[in-house]
Amino acid sequence: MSWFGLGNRHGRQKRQGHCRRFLKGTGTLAEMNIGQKARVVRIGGSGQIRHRLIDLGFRTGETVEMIRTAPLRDPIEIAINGGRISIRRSEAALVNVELIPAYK
Amino acid sequence: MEQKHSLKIALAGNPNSGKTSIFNSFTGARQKVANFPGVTVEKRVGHRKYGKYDITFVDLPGTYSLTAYSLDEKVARDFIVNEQPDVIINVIDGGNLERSLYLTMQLIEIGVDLVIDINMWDEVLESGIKIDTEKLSTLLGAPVLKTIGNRGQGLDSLLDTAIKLAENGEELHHHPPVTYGPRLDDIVANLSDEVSKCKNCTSCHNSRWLAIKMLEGDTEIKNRCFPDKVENSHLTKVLDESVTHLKSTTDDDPEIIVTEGRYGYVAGIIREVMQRPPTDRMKMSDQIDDLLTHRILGYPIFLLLMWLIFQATFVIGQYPMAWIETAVAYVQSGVGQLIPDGAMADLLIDGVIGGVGSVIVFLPNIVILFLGISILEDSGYMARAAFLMDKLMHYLGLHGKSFIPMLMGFGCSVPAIMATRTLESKRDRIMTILLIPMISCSAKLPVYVLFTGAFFGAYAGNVIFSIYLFGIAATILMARIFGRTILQSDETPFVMELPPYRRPTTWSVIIHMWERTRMYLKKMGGVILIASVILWLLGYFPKVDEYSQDYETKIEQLALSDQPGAELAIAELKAARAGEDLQYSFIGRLGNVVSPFVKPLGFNWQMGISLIPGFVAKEVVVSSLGVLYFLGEETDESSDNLMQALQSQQSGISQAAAYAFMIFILLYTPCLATVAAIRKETGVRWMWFSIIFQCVFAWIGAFAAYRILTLFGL
Repeated sequence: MSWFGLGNRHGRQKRQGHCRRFLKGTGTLAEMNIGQKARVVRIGGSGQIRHRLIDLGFRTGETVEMIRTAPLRDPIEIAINGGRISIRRSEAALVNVELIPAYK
Repeated sequence: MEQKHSLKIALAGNPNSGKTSIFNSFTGARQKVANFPGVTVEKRVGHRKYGKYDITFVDLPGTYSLTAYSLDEKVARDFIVNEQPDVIINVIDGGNLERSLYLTMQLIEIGVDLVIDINMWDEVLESGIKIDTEKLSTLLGAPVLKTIGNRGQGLDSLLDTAIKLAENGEELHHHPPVTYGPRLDDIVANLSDEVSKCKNCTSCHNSRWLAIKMLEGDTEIKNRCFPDKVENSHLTKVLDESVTHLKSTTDDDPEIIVTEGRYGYVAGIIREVMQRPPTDRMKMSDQIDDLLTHRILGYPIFLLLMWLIFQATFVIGQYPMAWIETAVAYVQSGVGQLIPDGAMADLLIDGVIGGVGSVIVFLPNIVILFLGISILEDSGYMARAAFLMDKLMHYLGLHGKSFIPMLMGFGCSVPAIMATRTLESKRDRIMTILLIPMISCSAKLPVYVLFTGAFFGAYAGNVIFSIYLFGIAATILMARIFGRTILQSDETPFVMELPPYRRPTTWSVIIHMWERTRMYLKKMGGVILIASVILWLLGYFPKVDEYSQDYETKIEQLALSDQPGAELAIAELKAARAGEDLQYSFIGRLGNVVSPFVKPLGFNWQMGISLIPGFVAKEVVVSSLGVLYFLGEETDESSDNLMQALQSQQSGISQAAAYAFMIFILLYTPCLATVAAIRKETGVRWMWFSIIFQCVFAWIGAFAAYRILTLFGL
């Protein structure tokens, strides 16, 4: 729920990309719109999930791009490091990102 | 210097790096698939004679890292540390240099002789990525080669380099240490000194690696090095101090600091050796995905592909299955003519040859299904299938990849259970395997056809459909229950790579099929064969001492007499005798023991007994009922006389009981081959768990169905 602040929001509880616009500032990977690019700020979570995220290239400073969502909106596909990663919104919500403005 | 004649070479690399196709090219068909000791992680081992060397190749599980978090990684790491292969060939996907080198760093840290192989070099060239391999080689202190694994290019020189490295031993390998920046390096060096002083660890591999792993908080290394905390109190103290220091200065877990440091080092290397073109190597794949994972078209295309594989496996598969059955029958009759009648002949014909038949009859299904699966996997579509299905499967607490094995369960549980090998996590595999038998397989259909035909007439189709739905509902229910009880822990992260689409090569598809087929024949064939012979013996012995009537004489008399209808009478007598035989046999007696248990479900004694041979295969239930109703063995689900017998007053079967029986058939242990497959994939304990669970669940399901339907007056 939005009054808990950005960090606590679970992406999959929201209809992302339509009613909510994530335009600037920071948020989580799960909240990005298709086509948006962002920079990874922090990887949350713990244990195996956190490790898997890092193994697959999510780490501070890395650029990510939201490519598409699955037909049922979850999971989502992210471009990172020249490859493509599929990730559930609940897991994507663990990655804090900072949006890179589209026109620079 | 004395030269070694046997070499052990291991292949390590990320998933989708093409490691296995290189392994296949090195070893050809001279390989075997086993499990690593104690776990269900696949271990592929192959042999090859090359020059004066006898080389053993081991294909390690594809991993991104070497931590203790996942079984695959632990297995790969333990193999490297404990078995100390002479050389490790680190297969790298050139298009994904960064992620690949991250694993390379960890291999270097363990301290092994490494050959770096940049595979899929053709893709690297096509995508316009420039990699300075000479510089990379200098920076890593290891030879770097380029190969195109699926076309077999560059493999000879790769092998030659690996052998040369092994010959020279330590001399060639001077990997510069992976550095983490001055602050962390100091801490590591300090800790590493302590580790090398520690008595428990002098025999261990590499003190620096151990130090780093301890900093990362690796539980396995900690347990190994600190079996007794008191002895290592000093080391423990230094470690705790280092961890506290790191935490206070960096505000994050040491584990993350180490990981990021390692990645930083990799990024440095990448900057020096690689130039990425502005174009995206995933462009082509993205365009294909625009169609295949399309919002609207994605599912129809997916279902069409699944339908094609299903049809190929079970509809086209029917023809070779029929040929095999004919061939087995032909052999049986041939042997029957060679050997004089008697118990020995019966054992050989019905027990052994029949048993072999029941093993090889699944071969067409397995070959075709794995042809389809390996094309899906090699092309990259399997990952997309998981992407599409994950939301639905997640509701069951499963991974998107579980969908395909479960769908195959509608055809036959055996190949479906074997297909769970595509799942990475053991928990998902066990869960999927426990659920598959509840999905109504094609062998259960004859039973439904018989009972709906006899009891539900015009509604037969709807009733059968309701049974299928019941199976799906039971699967969903049990998935939820298992997920909350016995299999609740460690749900694996779904995060996975979507590799670029690739054209599958004939060779790797064939190898994959061959492997599965061989595994099926070797590992399960024997068990199925032995079990079916035992069950045959139980149905054959003991022999009846005294029949209710003197069949022998009566049949002879009838045969000699020229009465009209004599043949029919003989058949009736033979059927009656077979019925008495079965009733008197161990299976019949077991059935009588079971009967009281199934009375509350409305089953009569014939139904009770028929459940016992039903453990062998579900089709047998129908023919057993035929025998028990004195109608002979040649009855099938469309036999009018069997239907009439079931409907008759004496039978005492109500519609509710018939429905309950079908539910029981749906839910209880599907067949011996499935049990063998479960044992192979999960171990003996899960096998027994599944058998007991299935029988109990079937009883409860059938009881509920019977009681509820009886209330409605059926």
